[in-house]
Amino acid sequence: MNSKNQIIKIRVSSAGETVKVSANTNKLFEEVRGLFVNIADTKHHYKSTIGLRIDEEEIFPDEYESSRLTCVDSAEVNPYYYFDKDEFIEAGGSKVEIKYCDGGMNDGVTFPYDVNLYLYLKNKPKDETK
Amino acid sequence: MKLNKRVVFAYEVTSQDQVIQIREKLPTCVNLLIRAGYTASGLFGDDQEDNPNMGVLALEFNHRKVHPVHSMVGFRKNLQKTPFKEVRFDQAMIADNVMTGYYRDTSTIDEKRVFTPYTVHVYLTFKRS
Repeated sequence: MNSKNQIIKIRVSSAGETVKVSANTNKLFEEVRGLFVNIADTKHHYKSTIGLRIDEEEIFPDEYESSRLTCVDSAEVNPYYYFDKDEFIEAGGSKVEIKYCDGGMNDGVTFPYDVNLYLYLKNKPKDETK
Repeated sequence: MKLNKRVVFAYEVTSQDQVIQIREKLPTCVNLLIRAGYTASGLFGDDQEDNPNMGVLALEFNHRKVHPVHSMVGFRKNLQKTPFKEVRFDQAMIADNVMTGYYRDTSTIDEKRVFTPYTVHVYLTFKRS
């Protein structure tokens, strides 16, 4: 298996809440190539931010809008935010720290709700000639 | 681990025709700016409509020698289709660099529109040295 989507769930209970979640990437994969944030009710993206650190390195600062990392409303479009080709973000059991801040919108939305962070994990292609 | 440095600056626009002066110290651990993106967000409600003319954003780097961004910032009601304007360029950063510029609100340039406070985010991506 060369790639895997790892899901990290974040439960938000009330408007304006800040939730910190820690997890570890799957040990069987070498690299985090991309990610996306999925929230069933997109109204929750309003002013919400998500900060991400992997292996103590800041990937996205805390002020990063969650709506920038979500998918467009079309199954034909690949939803992932991919890291640049020259970037290498080590998976292999690295610690993932997420800080999600709800935007404080409580009009016409329901609580609690779940934020799903999908990490796209990948192994480097093996050289088959060896 | 090899990754680019991402930085976000947020500016609250609280009054009609407001001009915000931008002066931000950039991280010292970076040497090359490769991308700048920006959005207007924070508007919400059924009465809000798409507005391609929220304001004018100008950004300068390297002590005002480089002026890669001078553009309109837009807003779309559908969060998932929020326009994210992005400028890609390779620009070597000089030491103690400061990003300067301004943002000017033009959201009510169409007189039918009513001003509502909102936030402009500026996203920068730097390649680490």
